[in-house]
Amino acid sequence: MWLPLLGLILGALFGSILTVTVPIVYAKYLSVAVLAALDSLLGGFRGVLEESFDGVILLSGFFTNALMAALLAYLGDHLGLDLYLAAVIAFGLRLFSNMGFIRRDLINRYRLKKAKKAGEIHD
Amino acid sequence: MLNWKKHIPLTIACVLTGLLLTVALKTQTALNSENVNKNQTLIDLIENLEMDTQTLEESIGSVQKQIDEVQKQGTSGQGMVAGLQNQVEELKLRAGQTDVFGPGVTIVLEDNTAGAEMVKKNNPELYNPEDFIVHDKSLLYLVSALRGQAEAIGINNQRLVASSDIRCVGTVIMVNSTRLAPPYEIQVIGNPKILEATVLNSDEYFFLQSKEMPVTITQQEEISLPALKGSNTANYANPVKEGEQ
Repeated sequence: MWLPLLGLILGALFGSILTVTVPIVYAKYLSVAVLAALDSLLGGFRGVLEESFDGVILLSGFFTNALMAALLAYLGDHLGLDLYLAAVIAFGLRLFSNMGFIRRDLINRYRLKKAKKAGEIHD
Repeated sequence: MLNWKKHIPLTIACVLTGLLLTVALKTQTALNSENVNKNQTLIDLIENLEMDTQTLEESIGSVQKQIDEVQKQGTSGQGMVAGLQNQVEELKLRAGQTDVFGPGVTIVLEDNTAGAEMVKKNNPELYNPEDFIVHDKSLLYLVSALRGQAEAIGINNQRLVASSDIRCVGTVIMVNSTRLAPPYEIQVIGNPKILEATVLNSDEYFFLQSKEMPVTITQQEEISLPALKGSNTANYANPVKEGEQ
């Protein structure tokens, strides 16, 4: 379970070492893409906890969501609509619901473990 | 084996998310600091230019003093030159090139902060900050109304002469290209009673009253005004001589 966390730190380190900055015009699209990526990541963790994890689904979702979110924002800008708000709301809501599920899963696991331990002692 | 299948995609996603996140953060901070830096350079530019103006004005003042001294040296008791000298003094007084003092009125205009607070509290949807601040037009109209009766006019220690400007630049008023801040104090030398009556009867005064702007007019026995700090030489306009055209 430590590998993904290490990956996150490694990625962050890599990003801060790299002197790549996105042109200001695309800054908004990048932010929306980051939101989509975070959502996919949390979805993946939830999958691991609920034992319904599928690596292909995670990675495909990760790329398509991030790309589509950025594209949607771009399209919105050209249509004169704040379409990126749709992405922000959709991914924001999913982010929070995923976080809720992860919390519940973790608590359930902890309780299950405790109950098992108690059962073992009783036995 | 199953563990690896789980961990590798998750780790890839994590690395990419971390990368994207830091790049986005860096872009955003660069964006913010760029704005701040741009503003800072502009502020520095304005401050430097204002300092330049001040030193230039000071050098004009010292050169004018030198000219005065030279002129005085040349006129020791000679009848005609002394007469001309007096004329120069008189003209300088009219042109606003000398410090002056005399009786007159002081008009103080302030932003209507009390009214602004009231409206903000009671019906914020009607609040328009433009309605509660002193505008360049108010100063301009009041000064125009007084021009006929006044012998010397100054706003916040800026002497008004024929070439003076009263302009609005963003949120500040500029007089003689110097930034002023409220309260605006218009000092006028002339017959105090006539000046006060002129202000009280001007359209602008009624307008300011209707907007409930705080305006105070006081007659004063002695007002002193500084000379014009800048230069107002004519470089392009030439006088038409009689008989030539």
